[in-house]
Amino acid sequence: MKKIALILVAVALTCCTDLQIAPNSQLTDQSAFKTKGEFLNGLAGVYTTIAYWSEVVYKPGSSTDEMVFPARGGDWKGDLQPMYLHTWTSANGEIAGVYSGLSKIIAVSNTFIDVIDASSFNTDPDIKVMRGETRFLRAFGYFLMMDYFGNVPLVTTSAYDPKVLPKQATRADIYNFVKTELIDLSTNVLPKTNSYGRVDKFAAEALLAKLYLNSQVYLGAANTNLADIVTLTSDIMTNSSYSLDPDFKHVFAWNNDIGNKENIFTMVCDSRNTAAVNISYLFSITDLSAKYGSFASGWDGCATLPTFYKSFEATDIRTKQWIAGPQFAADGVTPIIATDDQGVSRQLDYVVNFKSAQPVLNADHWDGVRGGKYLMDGVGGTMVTSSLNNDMPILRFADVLMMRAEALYRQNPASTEALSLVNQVRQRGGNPVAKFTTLNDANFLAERGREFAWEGWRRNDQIRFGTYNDATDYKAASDAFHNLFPIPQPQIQSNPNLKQNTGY
Amino acid sequence: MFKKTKVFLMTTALCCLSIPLFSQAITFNIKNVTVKEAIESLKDNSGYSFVYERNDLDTKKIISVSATQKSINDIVNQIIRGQNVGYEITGKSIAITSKRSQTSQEQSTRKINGSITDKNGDAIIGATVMIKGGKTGTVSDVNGNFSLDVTDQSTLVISYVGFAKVEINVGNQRNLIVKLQEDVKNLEEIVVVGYGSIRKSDATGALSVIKSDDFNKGTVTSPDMLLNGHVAGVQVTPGNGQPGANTNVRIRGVNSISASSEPLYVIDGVPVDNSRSSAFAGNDLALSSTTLNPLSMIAASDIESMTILKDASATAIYGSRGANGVIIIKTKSGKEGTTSISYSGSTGMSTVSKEIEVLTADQYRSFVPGSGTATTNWQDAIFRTAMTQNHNIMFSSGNNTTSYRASLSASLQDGIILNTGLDRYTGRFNLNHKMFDERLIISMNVNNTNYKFNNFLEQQTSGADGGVIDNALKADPTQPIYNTDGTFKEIAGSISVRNPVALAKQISDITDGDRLIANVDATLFFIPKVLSFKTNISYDADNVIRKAYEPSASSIGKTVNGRALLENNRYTNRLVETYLTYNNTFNTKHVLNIVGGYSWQEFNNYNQSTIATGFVSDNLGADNIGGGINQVTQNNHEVNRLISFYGRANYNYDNKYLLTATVREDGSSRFGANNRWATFPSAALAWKLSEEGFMKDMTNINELKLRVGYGVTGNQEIGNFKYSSTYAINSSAGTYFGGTFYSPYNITGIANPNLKWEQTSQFAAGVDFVLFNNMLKGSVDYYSKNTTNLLLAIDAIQPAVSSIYLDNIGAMTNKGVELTLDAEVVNTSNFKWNTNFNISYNQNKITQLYNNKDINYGVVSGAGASGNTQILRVGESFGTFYGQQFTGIVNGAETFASTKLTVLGKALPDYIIGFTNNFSFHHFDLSVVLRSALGASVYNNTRAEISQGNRLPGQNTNLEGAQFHAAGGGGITYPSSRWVENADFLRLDNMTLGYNFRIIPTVIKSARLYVTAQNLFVLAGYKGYDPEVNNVAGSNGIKSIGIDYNTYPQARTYSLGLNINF
Repeated sequence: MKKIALILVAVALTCCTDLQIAPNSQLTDQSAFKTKGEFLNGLAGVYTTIAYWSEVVYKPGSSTDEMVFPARGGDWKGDLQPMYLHTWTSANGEIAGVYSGLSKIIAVSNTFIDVIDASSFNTDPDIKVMRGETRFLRAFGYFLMMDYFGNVPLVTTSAYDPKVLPKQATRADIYNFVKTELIDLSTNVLPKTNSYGRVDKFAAEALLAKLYLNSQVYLGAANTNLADIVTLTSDIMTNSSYSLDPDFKHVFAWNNDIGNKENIFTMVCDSRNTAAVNISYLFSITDLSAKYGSFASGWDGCATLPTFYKSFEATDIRTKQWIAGPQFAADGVTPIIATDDQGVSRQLDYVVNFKSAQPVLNADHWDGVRGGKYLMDGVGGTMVTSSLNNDMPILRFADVLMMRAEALYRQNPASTEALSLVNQVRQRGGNPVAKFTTLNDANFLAERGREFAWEGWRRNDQIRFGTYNDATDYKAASDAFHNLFPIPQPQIQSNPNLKQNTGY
Repeated sequence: MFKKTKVFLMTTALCCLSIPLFSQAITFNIKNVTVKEAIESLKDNSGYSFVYERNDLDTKKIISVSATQKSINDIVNQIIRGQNVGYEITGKSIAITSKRSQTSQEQSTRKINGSITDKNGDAIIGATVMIKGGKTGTVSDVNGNFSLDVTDQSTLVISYVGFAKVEINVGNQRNLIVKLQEDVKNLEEIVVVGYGSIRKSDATGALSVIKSDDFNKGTVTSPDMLLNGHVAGVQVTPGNGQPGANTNVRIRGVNSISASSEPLYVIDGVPVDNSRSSAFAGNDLALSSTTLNPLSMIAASDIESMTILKDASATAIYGSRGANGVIIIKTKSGKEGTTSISYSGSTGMSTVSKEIEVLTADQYRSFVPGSGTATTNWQDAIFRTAMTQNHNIMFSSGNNTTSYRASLSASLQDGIILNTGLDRYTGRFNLNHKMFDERLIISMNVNNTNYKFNNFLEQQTSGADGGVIDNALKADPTQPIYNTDGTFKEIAGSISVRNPVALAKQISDITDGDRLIANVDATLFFIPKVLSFKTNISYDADNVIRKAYEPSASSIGKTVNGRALLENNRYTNRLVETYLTYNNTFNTKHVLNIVGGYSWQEFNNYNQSTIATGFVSDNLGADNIGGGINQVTQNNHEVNRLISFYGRANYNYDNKYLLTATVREDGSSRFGANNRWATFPSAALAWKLSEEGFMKDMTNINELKLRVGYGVTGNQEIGNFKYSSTYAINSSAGTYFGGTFYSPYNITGIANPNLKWEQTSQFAAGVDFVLFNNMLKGSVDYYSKNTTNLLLAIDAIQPAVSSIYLDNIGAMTNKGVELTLDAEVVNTSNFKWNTNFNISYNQNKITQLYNNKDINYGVVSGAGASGNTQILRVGESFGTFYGQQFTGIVNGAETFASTKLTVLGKALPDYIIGFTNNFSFHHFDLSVVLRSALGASVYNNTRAEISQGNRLPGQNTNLEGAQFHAAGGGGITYPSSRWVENADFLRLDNMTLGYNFRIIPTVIKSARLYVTAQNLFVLAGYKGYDPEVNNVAGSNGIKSIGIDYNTYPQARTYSLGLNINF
């Protein structure tokens, strides 16, 4: 009797104090990754973090000569405006967003690596490749963090403890980490081919080439890896299946995943099923549904600058990526009528030159040429929501050729191979522009601008070519310390180990 | 009627006893013999024998009997003639009984009439009149009269709350006039506190009780609105004027930044979940996010009282849910010894209390020559005179073991905007049963409400083209509502204006639900009145379906060929709790009351929603959501559990010194693994000074009590699984590998195993007084609350999987003073005037933030300036407005003192005031409720949007905007002081005039006819619809307050009502 009573009390006490409840509609560490198949979903979770690339395109992008966020009437007054003028501070929320957005790629990768390492599937060859891809994405995240912020903590574990503050690493530490990882991945881990949307050995080589291309910026003038770049690009050109797509439009088309030749490292987008990207920023258009379909609307924000726009020859196929001048419906004839800032109904007209002397402070809603790189075939493809349907290339074969050309050009400015490579990119698919006859810094950078406009690499290029802080259309020259963004104030406050970058 | 039948049956039975069941004719003649001789002779002749007491029957009396073929009765009657006895025949035995005992058997009941008054001779209505030791009784009617069947031997027991009980021997009285004396000891009622009830005078904490008589009358959708204005320190702010919309109740200020600040509601002992979430899928659907107030599922006519527990010593028994105060709702139940049937009904008419000024058609034409020729007031077009009906039928009955009450209510309330409203049907049943000599008491409550909430297109977000109100304010007044063919006139072109009448009429959005709240409890007394064990089991379920459709014929559904939403939500709340109560008095001076218990409560929240577009036909809408393409489904199921141990001891020494100590140990599945259990203690002392000898001579002081208390309470409304890191699988945010789609395992949130409740420690002190022979009653309270461990989303230390990390880091204080006065200003037999005045002052201050860094929130958007309008800053109040200081308009541009942002005001008032006056004059009564709040500001984002200079032509504006336009002005550039308006107001909240009928048929106990006007006038400088607004414009995880943006306006309502009791 006593025993039974004791058991009853014991049962009562345990069931009556049970507070262990797991979420019903979400997985936890205990319920996830029980089967091998789930690791592909885990990997998908890591790949979706690179959707942040779309924000890289316009946040750091608007600090260059290719993009500006004007304040339009009462709209767009915020932290994107100082980007173009290089007047940002460590309190800038957009820069803080870049910091945490890129850190997320690293942290999610760290988590998945730890999940794999703790799993019984960790010896499975497929899982090992996934681990390698995850290391690649982490290296990519660190590459960008180092590029933008310089000295950041180097964390390779998923543990988060607010009391254990990560130490700040030097830019060189991060550089070496990224280099070591990419060398190992490209030589030992990643396969020569992988499913579309997943990285292979050549993505690692292309990213490594990009790292080497900028090593003087990161490590100082004494550090060059130009020969390594030539070797890496040779491998890609001879041993991979990547090539220059003869159709420039197709590189960015809504169906660019089909028959992909050129894109080596891609952010996969589907308007229904992939992470929403902030394409509304980049589709800085309104009232254009008559031209591009009902979903092709944007937030009427960023524009390109007159000088940058004018660097495109009218005949250059790539000029079609801009939405400029009077606008017509899809038939090309019917004018699109809209209401201007003065309340007058007339044909929509995106004018090249801003009316105000300082568009960052005040601009008309119709001022400035808009970007339409992902609409340049004139239709929005099969968009069903206002999200992007076109995959965004991060590293593509044209860049491999241009990086190789640049390495050769820097070794020997008269290099014929360099000139030939640049012209190959310039004239692809019979683009009716004249061949370059010589290369110099100015035309090399301008050509990169035309080829890679609004693709997220302009800041990197301008810093390397030394023009990032120059005066441009509406911007005065800025100090060299702007080559690094400030470490966001919230991070400095939360983690006393972090030392702010010089100048901020 | 029921009792009368019973009396008749009893009388009939008594008569039957005296009539022989069989009759045998006997011939018996005898002359001049003694009774004894006659008895013996009869026995010899017929075999009938007599049984009698010697003292009862005079056997020596000389009698004669003459009977030929007569009944035995006839013979016996002759034998005992002239003697004071009766008899009873059983078989052949005749028992002689004394007349005394026979009278008591044959006694006839008779009717006694009486009237019950107080000491002034005023009728007491509803006093209970019971026959002592019996089961029958009645209550006094509206004139204080009663009548009851009694015998001369009956003793009547007459009782009424607040008066001393009297016992009266009926004797031969036919008409009674009973004057009840007020019982000072009993005057303070018994109030329900958590897990028990106490005499109000024994309360050591701050609590207020509002009885049904004091509730606000008229059209009231939710219980919280019943007490608005009546309780110091309680601010009830309607979210908007939409019938059924959520209200915000703040007891002693705002206690939280990102968690809920709503009090805990306990209905008949069941803590209910008052939060509602939705699995709303997709952001393309432009529907209102207005949530239905879950409390509106209790019919106001079923509520007996509400107790508001304000300080920590009162709420600590609710532990981790006590920090925001507790409102205990007690519903009505059947009363012992009475049967009553009542009907109450009202019908009301609501109109919009104010319209916002925009240009009239003529004004518009003067600014925009060549515009349309129609004259349309778009606000008039969307508003309507809304009709409301309320019906409630109640039946209750009870005897000394079982009582019950059943009621049915129907409330049909139309909103003042087209196609909005709330219909409710409520059934409620309550049963109480006592058994085993009152050793076991069982009670049961079941309440079910079916409701239909007709929502409207509110759409406060930017980007899209606004909702019904927004478009009514900006639609071109020179355009007609309809085309000549009867279709809605939509303005062609790219200007983002929609026909607001079309939006209101074409888009349907119906929420249809059933809320069931049921509980059964049993109390077992081990020792009667001393030791009891109570178990309470309850179930609360809300099953909701929301269906919405934007037809392809509408401007909003046109581009997608119709869009439908189908949403299923199911909330359940199960509770099991048990507690022991020990109540005893030692040496007459020591009174001890101890409660100790355990409770287990689990909340389930299931929801699923589907959105689809691309419908072939508009006729089926969401009922054929499968017929749409592009279906997106989201669902969620969350469970949280709360397990608690609690105890409370009340000690009362000599009715002078009172001590209360409480502790609750709460375990919540919402807390991180390192902090699963929390302890909440409190203690309070009270000293009844008026009971002390030295106060006895102060005759003007009837009662004086000092209270002081301190306690710690918590707020666990921080959401489920906030401590954890989980993988969400989202098929709309995955990726493709080799053309094959993979849903991602997305890590959500950074785990924080230390995450816990928000904690409030409160010091409170108060004085309760009753003065001048109970003419003036009141309380003065002071409190100081310090809330710490506020849940904040702080910047995660990178690299991290999220940019934010949830931690308990902030702190704020609320300090305040409250004054309540209840006075009998005039109290004569014909005219009475009672007044209640309450005023409270509260000062909120943020004292700690993460790194003490300001947090901006209160984002406004739309066509005006966009951005944050509020700031959290150490040293400032929650809800502080922050922006540029507007200096004027120069050359068509807004100018500001500087680009520096400054504090522009705050959304929380300093003072809230309620002032209620009740008059009664002969048959009439009048009550007037005035309400005021002072010291708050509102950000009028509606005005900021209308007043732009770039709305003409094509969109309407106000004079401010038209002048701005004429001066060359364009858009509104920055959130600034220009839009921060003074929110001070004085509102005539409720005015009711009633008439009590006297000349009524006897079957009707009372009848009352009344008219009520609600929101009769508002004195306010505010330019929007109403300064009492509460649009939630959340940003940075913080709910804003005091921002007005296209808020559904408040109605002015007139109702006519009738109450009849049978």
